[in-house]
Amino acid sequence: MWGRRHVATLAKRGTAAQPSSMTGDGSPAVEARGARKAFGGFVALQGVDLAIAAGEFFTLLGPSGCGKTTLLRLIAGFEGPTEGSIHIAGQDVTADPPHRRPVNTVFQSYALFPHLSVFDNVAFGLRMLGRGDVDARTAAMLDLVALSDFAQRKPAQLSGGQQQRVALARALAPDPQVLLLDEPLSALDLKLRRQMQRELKRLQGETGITFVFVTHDQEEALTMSDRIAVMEAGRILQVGTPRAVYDEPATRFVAGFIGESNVLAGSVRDGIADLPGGRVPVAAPDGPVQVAIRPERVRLVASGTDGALGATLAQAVYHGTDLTAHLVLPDGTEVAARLPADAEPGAPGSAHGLAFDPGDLRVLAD
Amino acid sequence: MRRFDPTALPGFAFVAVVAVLALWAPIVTMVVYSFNASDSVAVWGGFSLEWYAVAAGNEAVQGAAIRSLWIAFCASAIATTVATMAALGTTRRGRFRGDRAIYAMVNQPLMVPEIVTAVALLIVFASLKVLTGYTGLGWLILAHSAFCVPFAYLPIRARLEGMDTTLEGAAADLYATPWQAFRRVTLPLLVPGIAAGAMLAFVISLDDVIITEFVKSAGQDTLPTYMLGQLRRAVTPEVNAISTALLVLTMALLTAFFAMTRTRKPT
Repeated sequence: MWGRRHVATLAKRGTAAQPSSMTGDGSPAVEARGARKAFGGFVALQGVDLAIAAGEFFTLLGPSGCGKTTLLRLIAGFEGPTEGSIHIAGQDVTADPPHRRPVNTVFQSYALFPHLSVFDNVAFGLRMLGRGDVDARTAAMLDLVALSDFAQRKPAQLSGGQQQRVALARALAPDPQVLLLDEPLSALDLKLRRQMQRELKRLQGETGITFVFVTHDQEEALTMSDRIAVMEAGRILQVGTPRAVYDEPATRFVAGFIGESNVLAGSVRDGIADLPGGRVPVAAPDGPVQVAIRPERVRLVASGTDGALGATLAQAVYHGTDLTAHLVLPDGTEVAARLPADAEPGAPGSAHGLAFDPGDLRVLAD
Repeated sequence: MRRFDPTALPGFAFVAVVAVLALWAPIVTMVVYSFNASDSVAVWGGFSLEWYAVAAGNEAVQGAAIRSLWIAFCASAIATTVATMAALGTTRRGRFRGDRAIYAMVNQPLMVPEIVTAVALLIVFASLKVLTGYTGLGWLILAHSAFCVPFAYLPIRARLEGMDTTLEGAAADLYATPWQAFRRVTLPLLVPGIAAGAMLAFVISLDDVIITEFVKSAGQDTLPTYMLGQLRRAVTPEVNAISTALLVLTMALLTAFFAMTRTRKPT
């Protein structure tokens, strides 16, 4: 939807501003040091340390109220941290108001100026900076998001997807060091959202601008990000590549929030975990333990097979591409197993063995 | 369950007709009689524009009309400016100690009986007139500005409260200084509210009798106080003509006010 020919215009930028992908001394594009934010008695962010590398597509992922938007607002400068500091490209910007920070934001509600045309919306930042190439650069940005024919329209005359692209063009026009995106795709329908996800990713790769993306959608985070920070209750639980947070969740919350996970509780003695329905080797110290296993890593074997957990089938749900068997362990713990679509797990109540590669079992921190 | 329908009550039509008549019959009578050719207010003597001509040619009426419009113009300008600042101060600073008290203070003229304000202003301005030696229209403009503030304040505040503050954040994010953000985003979006507030203030000032009557110096009659003075002596159809002209002006402004506050909501 956005012509590739426009990329050249973007690649050329940087004559007036410093190229975004370079922050000079190699310091992180964005850094939070012990950033804590309290609103009265409510602590939205509890001492967060975070470093985002230049040129990274970085995602803050978590449920609503986890503090991800607060962290984004601290970076943009809409809020000041109660404690700690925010650094952009090595500069301490904690005391700087939003208009002195080299970051631009794509707002969840888009926040397009309703009284200004699409052109004037996109040109706004350039004009505030007193840039000399306002007309040319605005036209190039509109071209980039394929909205040149809509330059004189008012935002209210555009569809949601078009407004989204205006917001993106407006935020990219001043060539920020960092682009902040606050759940920008949440108002779009699924098909448009998928399309925009790919476009955003492509745009980020081609501009080299550091993207900090906030979302509660784990699939969106997995498909788009270079790295993900999983947040809960004002804390960062885990930072890593999509593969790392999916395959090696650090905590029970991460395991449950990103994709589906079966969490089993038991106790370890001499490297063997006593789990409901059987024993499996686990690399964990003696004592109580929680382990996670992804449904697609669970295999169904004959009941009584050596090394398998004994379970009873509760329900089998056919999804077309696959089949999910819901089983119950002797202590009542529910376990889901993702099986091939042609699997025939038998009738509810039938006994099975749950087998898995011990390497697929993740020991959770809490 | 059937909803309560007042139109189904016995005698509804009768009450409705009486109410509408009570509201509009006097006004219609006044307007009709402003076209009366007769000298009498009560006897119909045929259609004529004579009294409009008499009113328009009357130098006292001309003076009062110009004075009224000038006071209303100055007072609504001052009141709207003050009200805009008050509205910004009470909606854009977050909650602070005493914000309810400030709200009450701004709306003081709506709560204190007008006659009390008038007496208070009379006392203060009488001393000030003696002290300063100035007896011009300034005092009247000042007094009108004061009681017009809440009328201008309410629509402006409503507009500000309905405005998405993310827009101002977006302006700041795009490198606008606080002043630029106000000038380029907040103010343009606030214009319908300001215009509505100014119009309401203008109409309220134009209409005022009590405070003007108490504060004005000799020879400073506005249209309403002039008419009041005329009525004390003899009621002539000339007053009807002036009233009708005032009515048309006020209704035009109020229609514009309602049109402005209803449409073009901030998005």
